[in-house]
Amino acid sequence: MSQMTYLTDAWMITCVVSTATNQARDMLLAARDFGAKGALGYHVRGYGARERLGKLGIAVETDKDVINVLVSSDQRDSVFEAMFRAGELDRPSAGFMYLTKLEKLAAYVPASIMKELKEAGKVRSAL
Amino acid sequence: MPESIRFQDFQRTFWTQNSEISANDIFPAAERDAEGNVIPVPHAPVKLNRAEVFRLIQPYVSVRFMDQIRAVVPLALYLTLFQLLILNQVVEDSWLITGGLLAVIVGLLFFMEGLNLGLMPLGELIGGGLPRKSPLPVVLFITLLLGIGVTFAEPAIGALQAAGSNVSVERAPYLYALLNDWSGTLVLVVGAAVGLAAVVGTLRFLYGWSLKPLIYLALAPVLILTIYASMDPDLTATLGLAWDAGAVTTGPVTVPLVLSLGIGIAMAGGKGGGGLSGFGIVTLASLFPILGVLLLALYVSTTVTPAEIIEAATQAAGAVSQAAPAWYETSPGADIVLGVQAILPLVVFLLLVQKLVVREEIPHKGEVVYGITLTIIGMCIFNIGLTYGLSKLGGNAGSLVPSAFMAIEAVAKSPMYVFAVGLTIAIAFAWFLGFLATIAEPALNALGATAEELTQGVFKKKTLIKAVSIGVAFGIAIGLCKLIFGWSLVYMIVPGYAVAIILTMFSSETFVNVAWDSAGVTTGPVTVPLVLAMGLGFGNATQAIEGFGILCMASIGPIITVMLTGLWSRYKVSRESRSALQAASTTHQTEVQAVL
Repeated sequence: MSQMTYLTDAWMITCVVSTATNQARDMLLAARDFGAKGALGYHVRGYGARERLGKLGIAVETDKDVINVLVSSDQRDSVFEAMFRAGELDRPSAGFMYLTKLEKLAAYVPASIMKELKEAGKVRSAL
Repeated sequence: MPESIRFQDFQRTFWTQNSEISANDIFPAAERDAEGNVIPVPHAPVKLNRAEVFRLIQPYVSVRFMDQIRAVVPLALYLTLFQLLILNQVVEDSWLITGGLLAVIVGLLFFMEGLNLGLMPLGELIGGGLPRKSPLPVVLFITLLLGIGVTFAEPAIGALQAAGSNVSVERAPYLYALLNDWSGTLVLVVGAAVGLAAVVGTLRFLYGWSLKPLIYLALAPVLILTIYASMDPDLTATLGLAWDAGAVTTGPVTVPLVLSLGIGIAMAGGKGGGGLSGFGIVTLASLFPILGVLLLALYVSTTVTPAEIIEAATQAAGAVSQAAPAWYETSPGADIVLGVQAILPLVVFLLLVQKLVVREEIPHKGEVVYGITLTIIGMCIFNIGLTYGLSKLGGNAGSLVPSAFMAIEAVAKSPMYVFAVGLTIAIAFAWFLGFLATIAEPALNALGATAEELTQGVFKKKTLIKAVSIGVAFGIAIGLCKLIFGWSLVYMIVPGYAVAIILTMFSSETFVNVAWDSAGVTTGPVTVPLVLAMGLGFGNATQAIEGFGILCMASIGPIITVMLTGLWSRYKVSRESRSALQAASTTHQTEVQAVL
């Protein structure tokens, strides 16, 4: 059986912002400065919120960008906050973001990193 | 007493190999300096060992390798099996041909990957940036120059030039002159015609012109010149070349590069949204070169006489035998020189436009340089493979297939079958060759998807691929008949295009666009050299004057079949909707659906 290494203490940040304002780009740059290694982006269409604003609803864009960023628990709060600020989510209709705890995160861990961590005694055998 | 194991124990032993790391050890949080500002986390590249590099590269290479295998191997296998089983002939120089085919596969692999990494991003950057930076006339002029550049870079053009050495100078002097003494001018004229087609096509996007009048306007002079040339016995031989040139030009370099520029211009003009944008350039790029080559042939015929050409050719033949050719004139060297010559001007031109006109930073510079290098290496390898693999295999097959129904010196016991049976075998061979070569063409898949989208699913992707493949199959079969019976090309082209024009008048704009473009899309870098070489070999074996003309029949075939299919599907839809309207709505739901 092939060996699996999984990461604990992993979290996922998901942001939903409007496409037209190009917020996603600023948020990704901020996330990168704070240590996030990569992201996934989707282009989607949102429904619902604009209907509740009456005539003002026309100001809400329905084209949305969704970005997923995977972070460690140590990075979690700083990256989350930095992305919030970079995306200026403290405006009405600017979008929203949320954090999800990931039970396990599994992928290939490069041998050089694995060796380093093993020597430092940071690899535990999982039960 | 049966033994029992606790499930948890089983699971524990089963999973003990797994290990667990805290994400915090791999993804450290950013640190802050004394003032509390964040120090950006450095993104050091990950070091991989050799085994990891191999496992990373392996899927990347194998996917692309299989793509090319799928394009080359079925056709090669078909030709080989046909020779073995039906004609009982062993393929000559089979090792050399296998090596050549391998070179074609590797060359195409490098070439296509390099194209995607190097030339395409450059083309897209220019296509997006140029229309915003310069006035329309400058943009159109650059489009014209680009047309010339991409034609030289088209891999299949090499096959056309290689075909020149097989033409007999006594029997077709002007054809010989065009392919040998004038071969540079020939490609230049074809390129200029492609450039002009790109300009007209772009104007069409910009002003939303219909394609139909453009087709009529382009076809009228082409057909008139064709009929005129057919009156002159010396010029008749150049007709096949002229019509084939149109099919050769629209390959994997021209289509995406010219399209990206054209669509970029249309977008900047605010006219890029229409579903049909992007169509039409391919059509015009396959009609204009015909006109260009015909005009060049006329020009050559006014400057030199056939006697002069024959004399010059015999003198040149004498001169060559005296001096040993330099390394760059013999096969592997010449192929490499040709490859570099084909790509480098296009790259220099694109870079100049980028530097002087667009003036935008190229993203991922290293990747672009890598891509361009890969393109040049790929082109050189492909050219070598073309000479030793595709051309040889096609030529072999072409020269042997006639042995099915007529006496050939090289084949003992020929004719192998009764005339009628042998003829049927030869024609069936050509039909299936066309069908197989087309159905595997990746560009056709993309066109089919677009057509399905444009017609809201009325015209299925599979239907289009089938229609085009059958059209090409009949085209190649008819082209072969032309060689066997020595029919003049005029008698097939003029009625063929007359039918196409009539169908164009009755078809909707969408189908006209799809049908005429499908003709250009089908002739890729594997099909063209193979069919061209086969035609030439066949022509030599059957003592025909020249072996051109098969490719152009393969162009007109799909135009007719696709438009016929389009008209048929429109008829079916209108009949269905009429009967649906007449039928009373039986339930409340269907009534609601009818309203929607």
